[in-house]
Amino acid sequence: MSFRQSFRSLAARSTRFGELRIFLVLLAFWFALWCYDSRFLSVPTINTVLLYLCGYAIMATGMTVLLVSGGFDLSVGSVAALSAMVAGVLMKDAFVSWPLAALAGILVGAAVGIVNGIIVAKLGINPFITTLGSMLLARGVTYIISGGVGRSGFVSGFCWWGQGRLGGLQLPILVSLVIVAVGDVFLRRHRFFRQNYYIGGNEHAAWLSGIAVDRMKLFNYGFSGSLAALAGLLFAARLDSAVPNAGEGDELKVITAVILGGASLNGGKGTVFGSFLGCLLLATIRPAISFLGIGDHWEKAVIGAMLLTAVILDRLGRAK
Amino acid sequence: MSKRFGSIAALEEVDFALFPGQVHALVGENGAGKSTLIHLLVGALQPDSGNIFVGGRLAHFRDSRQSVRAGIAAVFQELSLISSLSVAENIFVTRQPTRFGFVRKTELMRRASGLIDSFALDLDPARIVSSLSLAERQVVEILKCLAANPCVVLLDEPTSSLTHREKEILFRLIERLREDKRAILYISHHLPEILELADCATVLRDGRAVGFLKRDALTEPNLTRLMVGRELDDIYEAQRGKVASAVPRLAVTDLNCPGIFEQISFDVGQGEIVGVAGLVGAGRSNVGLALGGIQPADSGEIRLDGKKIWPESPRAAMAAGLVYLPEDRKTEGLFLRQSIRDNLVAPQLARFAGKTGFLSESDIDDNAAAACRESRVSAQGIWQAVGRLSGGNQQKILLAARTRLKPKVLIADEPTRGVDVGARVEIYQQLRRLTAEGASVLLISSDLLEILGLSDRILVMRSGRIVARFLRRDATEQQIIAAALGVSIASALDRASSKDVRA
Repeated sequence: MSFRQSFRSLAARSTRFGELRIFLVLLAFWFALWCYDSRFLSVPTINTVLLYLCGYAIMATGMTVLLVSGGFDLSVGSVAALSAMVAGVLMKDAFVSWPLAALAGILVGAAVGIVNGIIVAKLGINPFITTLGSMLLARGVTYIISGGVGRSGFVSGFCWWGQGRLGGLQLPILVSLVIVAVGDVFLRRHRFFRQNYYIGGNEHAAWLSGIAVDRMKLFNYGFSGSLAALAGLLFAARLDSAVPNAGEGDELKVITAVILGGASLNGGKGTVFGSFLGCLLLATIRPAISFLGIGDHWEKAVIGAMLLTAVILDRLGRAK
Repeated sequence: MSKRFGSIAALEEVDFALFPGQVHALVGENGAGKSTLIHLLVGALQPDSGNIFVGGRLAHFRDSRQSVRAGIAAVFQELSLISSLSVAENIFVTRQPTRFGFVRKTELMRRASGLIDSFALDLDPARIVSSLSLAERQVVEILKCLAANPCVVLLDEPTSSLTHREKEILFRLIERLREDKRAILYISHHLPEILELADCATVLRDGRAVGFLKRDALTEPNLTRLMVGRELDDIYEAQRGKVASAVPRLAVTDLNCPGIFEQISFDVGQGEIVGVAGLVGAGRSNVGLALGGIQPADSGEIRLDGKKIWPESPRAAMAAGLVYLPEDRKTEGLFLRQSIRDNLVAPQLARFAGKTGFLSESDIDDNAAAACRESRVSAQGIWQAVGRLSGGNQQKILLAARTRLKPKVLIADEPTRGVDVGARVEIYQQLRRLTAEGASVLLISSDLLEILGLSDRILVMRSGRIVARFLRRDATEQQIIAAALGVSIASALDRASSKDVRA
């Protein structure tokens, strides 16, 4: 490949850097806040932002894979709560050791995901309806097994995963960054994950091209469920408590972040890194609001306006 | 009535006029500007300069509703029917008879059957569109456009998926429109149709009108010369005159699928092209779908290179070496929003992955560039979205993606549907190259000339059975039509001539 060719391919690649837009928005947002008050970009604020978003970032990784393949998962918030509660109940009521309890929590998440996948892929039921059902079901089961009360006072081995530090970073942050990084590389470059772009682009054509569509969908829902479970466990470990209403409404925040990050409900596009930037933007709004002294009740309106602006800009950009 | 257009990138200073009671054909290769022209006429696009006159009055169409009101109606290549509604509801989609805002069902049905009867068609207005064949849908599409009682009718590739008999129905319909003194703009790649139907023709090339032919100058050599800008002596070039090799590559024995096809037995030799002719609904595609693992058959035996296989998914069929080239490139074949390069590697991601499963982007790029070169795809680059390409280029991409799998047998279902002459020639060359490399091709096609021009042997199907087999050198068009219709040659000819009398 000649120099000119490689330059051209580099130029082509950079214009296709789909995350560029949200990246610039994020930079501008931060810069404005930093101009307003230079304390904004201090270590404690950044730490708060990262700690707030780490659960979302983990769930967003699974959600991105799903959206790229044309899927959808409303059950992540409930699954996070259910898995944490399963682990909590096992540890506190059944005195199971924490690694086993945590493993059980993850397996429960994976199982809910796989059931979602079976219903969507094998029975052909709409993912919205399917995961709406499993969202309610998982939340209900969480209340049932917990009796409506939380569990807390977990062993320190479990809590270390939520409160410990490694190289100066709190563990949940570290775990989420690792998952985002690994997830991004896999979705971008790995042949197994890359099939999702084809499924999301044209499911029938993907099947006719020899892609095992059903198997892929099962995996995606299972993957999303497992990551939601992990997020729920880390959250419970950080607070040293599992509560039945944990993660309520998280699914919508995660989907918002993923769409802000460039994915589409029509499938076929999006990256994990983009979704992470979306989470970052979402997580910055809350501290930004308190910095500007606007009042917390503005948060939802700002997020909503931002989501609509993003999708409208995207549509207008594509129309040209 | 006259229409003028100014220069936009895709179309430069094209002038032409449509007259009532005349069929004006518009021909040209991919990207010659035909689609742009139609979009201008229906108001989907606005010209940068130039004017449109309808009935002597200057018209400006800002959107399609205004053009409909001016009396222009278009039937596009892509069908625009709502498949969950009935024929009648589709025909009168924007003008349903109502009382107090409620739809009057019986009145709707009455009007629909009135319209259908006026063209002597056999169609139940209450049927749901999703249960109709592609050809019937095309007819409904045209009826829908006629419901607005337009003075100008634009037909874009209306026959691209129709069989002989269905085309006749369509031609009768067009004949009626001509008698009704409507002006018709007929766009087609199918030169024989144009010769049969058109009163005059405008040829577009690279966005310019390069020729206008009156009825008496309307001949196939004239048209092709203008379209391609070079002589196409014979699209189907020299026959190889080769006899099937002794060893069959693919041997199918007694393949059955109750109600769809029965007792299908044939073989395809190495490097051979076997054509499957027949009417739509004769089960040709279904045999292809069964072999490709898409709709597996019920019973029978499939042997590939002597080894028994029974593919139950496209994936399994591909792994065995049986590759199906889908009929409908847009819904079944391609990922329209994705790039050329991503489309080309879709069926074989594994080939570009290392041991760890990570893909080599530069290999994918190189592969795409090579495929585009070989298939002579004209595009801005390998990153262009496939949906932006012309039909011919899309089809080349789809074929390239499948042939790069190095199939043992390629099952090509209507490989040149809706594709112009230039791209057609290149697709034929690609199929020939494939056979020269030792692969075999099962060619399913409604285009008789294609079947006759490409095949080494020809099978004819009717009502789910193979009713005739020919060697290329023995087959004639009449024989194949007669076998497909299930009549003797004499009566087939008879039918054709009696039709001429009627016309």
